[in-house]
Amino acid sequence: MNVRKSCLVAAAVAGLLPFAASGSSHREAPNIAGNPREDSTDFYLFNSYEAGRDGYVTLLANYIPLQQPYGGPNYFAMNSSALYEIHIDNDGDAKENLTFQFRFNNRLANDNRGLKLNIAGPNVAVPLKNIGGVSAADNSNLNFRESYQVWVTRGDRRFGNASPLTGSNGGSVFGKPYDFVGTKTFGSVANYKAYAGSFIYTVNIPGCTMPGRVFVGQRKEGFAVNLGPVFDLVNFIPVEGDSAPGAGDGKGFPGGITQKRANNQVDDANVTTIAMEVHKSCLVGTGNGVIGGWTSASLRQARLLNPLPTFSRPDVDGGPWVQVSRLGMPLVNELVIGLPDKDRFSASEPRFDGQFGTYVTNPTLPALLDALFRTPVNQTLGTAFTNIAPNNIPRNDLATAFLTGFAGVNQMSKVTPSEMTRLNTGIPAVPAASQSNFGVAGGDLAGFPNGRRPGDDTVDIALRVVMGALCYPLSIGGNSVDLKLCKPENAPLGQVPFTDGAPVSAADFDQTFPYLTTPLPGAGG
Amino acid sequence: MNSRKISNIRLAALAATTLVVAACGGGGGDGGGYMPPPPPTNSAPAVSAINDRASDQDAMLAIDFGVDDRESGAGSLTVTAMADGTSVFPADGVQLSGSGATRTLTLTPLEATTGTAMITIRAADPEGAVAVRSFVVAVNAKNNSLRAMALETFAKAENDTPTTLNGWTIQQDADDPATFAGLIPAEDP
Repeated sequence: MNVRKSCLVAAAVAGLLPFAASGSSHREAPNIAGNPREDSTDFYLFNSYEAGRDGYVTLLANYIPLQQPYGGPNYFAMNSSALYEIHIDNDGDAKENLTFQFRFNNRLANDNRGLKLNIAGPNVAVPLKNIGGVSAADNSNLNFRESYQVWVTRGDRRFGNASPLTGSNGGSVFGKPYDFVGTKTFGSVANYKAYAGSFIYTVNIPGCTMPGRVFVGQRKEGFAVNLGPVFDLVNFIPVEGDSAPGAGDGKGFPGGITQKRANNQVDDANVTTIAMEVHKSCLVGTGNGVIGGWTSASLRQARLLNPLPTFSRPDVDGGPWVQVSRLGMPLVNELVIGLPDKDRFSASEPRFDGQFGTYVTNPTLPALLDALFRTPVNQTLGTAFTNIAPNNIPRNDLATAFLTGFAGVNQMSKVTPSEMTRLNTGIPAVPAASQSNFGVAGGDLAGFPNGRRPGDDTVDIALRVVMGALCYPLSIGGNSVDLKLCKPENAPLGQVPFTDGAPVSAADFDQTFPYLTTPLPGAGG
Repeated sequence: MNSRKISNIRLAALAATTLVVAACGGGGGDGGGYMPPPPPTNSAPAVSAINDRASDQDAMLAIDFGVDDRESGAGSLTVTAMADGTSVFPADGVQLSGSGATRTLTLTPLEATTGTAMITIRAADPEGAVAVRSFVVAVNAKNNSLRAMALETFAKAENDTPTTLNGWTIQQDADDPATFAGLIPAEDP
């Protein structure tokens, strides 16, 4: 297979894979649902498409899901007792070669004593996190301040050598903007955008010749999903109901859903983003230019609650790090891993993913969709399907999508089945205006599943792949490409345009780092 | 030798002579009065005594026991074991190993499960004779001190391998905040 055809095949496969991989993971496992500060929700990994940033790779790890912007007075600080990490495997052994480690520190103003007001004599600490306007130039009214440090560790994430990243002034402590509590505090949405933008730092990364950039702060939720109805036994007909997405003519599948922003039920939420931009020369190592990435969060194994808590010491944490959250490809833990093993998956590392293989090769989601929709499908179409789920068990098509990547596109030179987001750093980025939200399936090789960009509609792609889209020849660049992972007769609905009706595209995002947009204000705006 | 002893010896000799004659078909006549002796009786196998046992939760229990059979030998026995339910020991948690006269029963309780179960070992010989031995196994909670656990965990470096807690039962500590207050380091000035 020549390079072009190889890329086409890979692209076709990747384009239809997103459902399995592209969903996000908000509150997806029983234990992590109780620890939102360490709950990773989405992980993006893509070649930077900001103008003038050729050769750079952007890594975005979102935490603290479903933030209602008005969630005062404490809003959504990161956990100063947690370890947040972004891992990179660049040689295909499913073990990290490079890890960026983030630790946060929360302080009150006035040397941790807090801002105080003189009330008829005594100075009394105020109960709020800010007591006046806040801007990049003046944060004197800000009572609660977050900062963080970043280390790069090469080799094992726990035993490798860690070195701190430094800013242009040589310091290693970086500030995190206060959450967007509202327009009275910050003046306007534009003012908050400028304020948050002042927390984008150019950094020197030890061992790398090119500088990078970092930002940590609140952003508007970038994931789009019809969340409530999806988990209410898919309380809609998940097929394109119009002749074309958004046409609104009802000439698609009878009763099918219409694409509209109102279907995105997380459109009113914010999230907290850990963002990095690193030159690919720092990431690719000795591999073939394909890297695998994932994020994780860990806590110390033991926590003692202080019966006499103070701001700085409500408890004491100690012992070794225990991973409690993990995210590479989206929706994996949400819709693939069985409930008894979700927390184990959260605590696991990609190199041990063999223990979860059956969930991929023998998936339950298609069977659930069969139970929910076989009868309506037969009634609507006049068909007599006895099972609408693909019958090619084991599902090699899903294993390729989830665990190995596609040869010629996003497969590393050494293949170790494991779940992570794989990006070919050699495929040039595509400008926002030219991106397809169906990624490779849409003829855009720079998109999902070759990495994942904010505008890739991974939910729709994933739905289609799970229902067998890869069993049919794909049209890539005018060529019909048969991936030979399964056959059309294996998937009766493999060509049906499944969708959750919640559209997303690159137009919904900024075109500059960190791409995810200014958060929604808690008030005003 | 007294007369009683002489008499017994003579009777024994007479009986032996009679048996020999009968076995050879002798004694005259057509032999229609002869009745063959009954076949040897098959005795039941034997399973050694096993006392009731107790073990900690999340721990395997191995029990060695012996079997025998007078006629066919221990190696010909079919030995099985089962619990009287699956709430403590699942079906695959009752395993037999070994051969011949010495066998081993390995019991693995369900994770984080306590309770009692009656275990029955059954040995059958090729002739169908059966021996059964039952005993009770109690799986008791293993109480770990939360304080000890915390100290043990805290003592480890942050990059060490975490302690696995599967199946741990933490004993209740006294309802006294001071129990742990002493573990909280003094606050930074």
